[in-house]
Amino acid sequence: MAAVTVPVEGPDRDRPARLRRWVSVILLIGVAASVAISVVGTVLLAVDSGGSPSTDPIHLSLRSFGGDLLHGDPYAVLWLGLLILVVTPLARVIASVVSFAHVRDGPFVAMTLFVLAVLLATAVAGVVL
Amino acid sequence: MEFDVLGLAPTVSLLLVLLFLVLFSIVAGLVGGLLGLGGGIFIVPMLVLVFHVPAAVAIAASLVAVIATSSGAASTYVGEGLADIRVGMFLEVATVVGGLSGALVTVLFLVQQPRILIFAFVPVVLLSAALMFANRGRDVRPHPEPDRWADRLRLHGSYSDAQSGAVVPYQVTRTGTGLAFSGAAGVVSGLLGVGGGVFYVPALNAFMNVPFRVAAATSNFMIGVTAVAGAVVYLLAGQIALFWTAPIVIGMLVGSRSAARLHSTTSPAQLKVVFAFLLVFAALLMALRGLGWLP
Repeated sequence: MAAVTVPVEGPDRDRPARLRRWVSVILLIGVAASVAISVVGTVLLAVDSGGSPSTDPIHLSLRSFGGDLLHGDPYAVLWLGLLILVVTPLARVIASVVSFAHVRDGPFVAMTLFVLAVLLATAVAGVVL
Repeated sequence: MEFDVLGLAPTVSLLLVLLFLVLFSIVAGLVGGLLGLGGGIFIVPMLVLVFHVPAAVAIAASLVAVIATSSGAASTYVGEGLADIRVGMFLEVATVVGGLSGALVTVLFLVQQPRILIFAFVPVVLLSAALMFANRGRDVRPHPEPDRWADRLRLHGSYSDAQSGAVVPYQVTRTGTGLAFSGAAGVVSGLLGVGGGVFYVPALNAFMNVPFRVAAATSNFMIGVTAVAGAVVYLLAGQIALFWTAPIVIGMLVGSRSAARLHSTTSPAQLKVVFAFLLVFAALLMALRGLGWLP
């Protein structure tokens, strides 16, 4: 059998130390902001609801979102925390595209862009339905 | 909804319910973060069995919770270099396509059929229990068969073992099987509200020859993106019940951050066995409910 010598490098292939740091910081900021806002929203909900909050699914109304948020509406605050959480993994995919492009890793730029495109297609499909 | 816990006042009952949700989710996030499973596998049965939440709403809440576990734990795993970003991104290509299909099928056809969702859950949970148990004692093969795509895309790697401090190299193989499993993981994730980690960890470890610690960390990193694909569809379909998601997200984040700090002190072999039994228990509860023998 022909010996296949594959260079075994650390996870630091192509200087991804910078990519790792970016991704790590983005994820941390995203979850920290989301959890802080969710805590505020949950406290507001417990105080406002008089012991009887709505446990049903709630539609996100973009039209009144800003105003509700300013008035301290618990559901608007909880929506904000949730939206930040949902956007966090997207932000790290975008950071990966930029980082792979920076080290000119063509196949990985293409793969990461594809992942991003499908995620956007998912959102479009959801709106259409 | 007014809660009544042991006949206590509604406000006190509400606080107890919120406390229970947060504490339960801390444990789910801790176990999920340690094993690379988002913890959604615990959240869906809990919401359905304890609070009689409709299956689609429970799945939507669980997908959101999985994003929390993933981002919370992956932040640390990526920073330490334990999560393999290249292998993760490679498999995500198949995963997102599967995730989109699974969520669409659920929203279009299955929301009216909660019993089908419950029955679909049981075999998945049992399968993942069997894979966990069968896989408990082995880690990686030093000389796996060569794989063209793994070479070409430079997927091989190494990690620094937290216990011994040694740098452990690994040779990735069977990329095709890995992609197939990831696609399936995506479909199941969208259908059932789990992150897909039940498939990623066995695919990465048993097939692709990635060490268990790296497999769990990489799975943690990936499930966030899988869950987003599903969560967005549920969100836009109006299936998000904020009352359930918020305390679960808070608990899952606390749990998964703790997991990322504790992972080096645990023995994966023991965790896998304990987890396999927990999964069988969850499957049993879901089956009993599906059959109508439990409320």
